[in-house]
Amino acid sequence: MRRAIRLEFRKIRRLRTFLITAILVLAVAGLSSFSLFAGSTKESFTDPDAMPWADLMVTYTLMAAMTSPILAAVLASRQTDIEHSGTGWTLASTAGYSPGVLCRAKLVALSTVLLPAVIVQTLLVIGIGLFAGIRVPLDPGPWVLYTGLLLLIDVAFLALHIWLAAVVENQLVSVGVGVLGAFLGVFTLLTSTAVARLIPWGYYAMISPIGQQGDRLVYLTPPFGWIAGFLILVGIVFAVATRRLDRIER
Amino acid sequence: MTSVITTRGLTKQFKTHTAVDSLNLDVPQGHVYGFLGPNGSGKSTTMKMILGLTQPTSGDIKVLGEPLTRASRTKLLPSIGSMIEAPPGYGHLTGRENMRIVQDMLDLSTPQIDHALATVRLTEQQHKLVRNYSLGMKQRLGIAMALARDPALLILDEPTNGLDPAGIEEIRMLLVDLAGRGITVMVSSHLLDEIDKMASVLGILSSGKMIFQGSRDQLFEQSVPDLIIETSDPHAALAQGLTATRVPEGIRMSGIDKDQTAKVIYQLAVAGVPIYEVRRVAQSLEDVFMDLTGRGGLL
Ligand SMILES: Nc1ncnc2c1ncn2[C@@H]1O[C@H](COP(=O)(O)OP(=O)(O)OP(=O)(O)O)[C@@H](O)[C@H]1O
Ligand SMILES: [Mg+2]
Repeated sequence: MRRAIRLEFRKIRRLRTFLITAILVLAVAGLSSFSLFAGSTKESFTDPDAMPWADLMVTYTLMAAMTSPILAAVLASRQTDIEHSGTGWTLASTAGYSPGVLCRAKLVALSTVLLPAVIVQTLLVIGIGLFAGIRVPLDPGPWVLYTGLLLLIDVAFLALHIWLAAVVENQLVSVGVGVLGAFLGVFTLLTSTAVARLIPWGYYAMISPIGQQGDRLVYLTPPFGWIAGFLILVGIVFAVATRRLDRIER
Repeated sequence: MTSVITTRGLTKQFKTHTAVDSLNLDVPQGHVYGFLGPNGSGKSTTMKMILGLTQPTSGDIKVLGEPLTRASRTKLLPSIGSMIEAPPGYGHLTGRENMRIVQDMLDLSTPQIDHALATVRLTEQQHKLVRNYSLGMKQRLGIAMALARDPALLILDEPTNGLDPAGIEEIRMLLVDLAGRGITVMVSSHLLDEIDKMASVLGILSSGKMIFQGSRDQLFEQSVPDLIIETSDPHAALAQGLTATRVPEGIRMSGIDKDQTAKVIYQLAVAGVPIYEVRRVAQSLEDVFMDLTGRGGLL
């Protein structure tokens, strides 16, 4: 398996994976902090009751829910499509690497790319907040929690998209599903959690550590049970699905 | 003669369609085995089963002396070089980078990679993106990937596809040379001419069934060339009730063996038909092939 992962990093060259990731990270950071530079928000920067950090987190979760499904779909699709176009499945298979092993290696490799990306993304958002002049002390707890959960949900969607890209050769399908997911992700942020937890992309909303109470923002504990359940379910589906891939005859 | 590939009753069924039908294949060691058949006759499917890429519906496969199973396959793969249908190669990487992937997959040494690239004469182009390779160059890269592991057995599915005549000649010389060094080569094609010049053993497939397996000479024995009887009076000859057709020099008969020939000549002579000459038409291997696979089924 370790060798299969190394192979994936060899294939990643020239796929522009790092560039695409960097662009999306910058875009999320930029869009999230856009409102910071509007004149009216400035007044809240020194007022703890106005909760400027919580405000920033709300925009961040919205932007992340909108872009992460697309990023996961694009990265997974690029890394998997090359096996279709290059007869890579057969090449690997005649060297003893089954399609399932390839998919699992792809997941590890792409997750390794996403790990620093998501961390940098959060740090950028906070950094821009500080730069814009937020003087209220930052409570790191919710930010660390959200970043960690966002990464886990991203990994889950990478897994689903790698599988989809492997099964359906036409990559428009995988990327199209990602775009649809982006809409659903945003939509679920605006509806109740009862809906969000039934839609896979709803988990981009479920992990948000912030909620509305009356017209005030409040920090809350995300529903860990549901989130863990979702991750475990995706893990099982991916394990079973990639094992089944080994039996597909091309 | 030891067999490197043996199959017994090898069958592959797709839903209702039988793609490969109880095949008994014997590929002898150190030979180039030409695996022939028209389009869709089951060549690729057979090769995939031998490589364990497709599960047979029934039948047994022995490769390099071992029954092919999940466990033995893992052990055997490093000694089997193969290229099935389209040549592999990641378009966004260079030829060299593709070879590095094969190197990593199989723990090969850099000289092995260099040597394989040199053998298919791709050294000059190794730093070009495979996306920009010509069809022939892609084909060569695919062969290099199969060769790099220094295989004991090489299974190539239509390796000369898309190559120019010089390229075909090169591959032919390469395969004959490999066989000379004790490597067993199984190579498929639907062009008999192409394979005739390199293969010492032929297997001919038609609609999933093996219709011939053996040497070139044995193949000629299988199919009896037409008989031409030259006569000044073809009418009288035909009046004897022979199944024959008229040709300018006399009559022509198909599927007549030596004994039958003697009888026909006797019959005609007794009937007083003047016979100037009796001969067999010169038959090309292509004719034999057409004869066996049934006309029309061949591209
Ligand atoms: N996955 C599949 N599902 C259903 N039928 C298949 C499948 N693969 C092959 N076949 C059928 O099996 C038969 C043999 O196909 P195969 O590819 O082995 O032929 P071939 O001899 O390699 O032909 P060609 O010279 O065109 O490459 C064909 O009729 C084909 O349609
Ligand atoms: Mg074929």
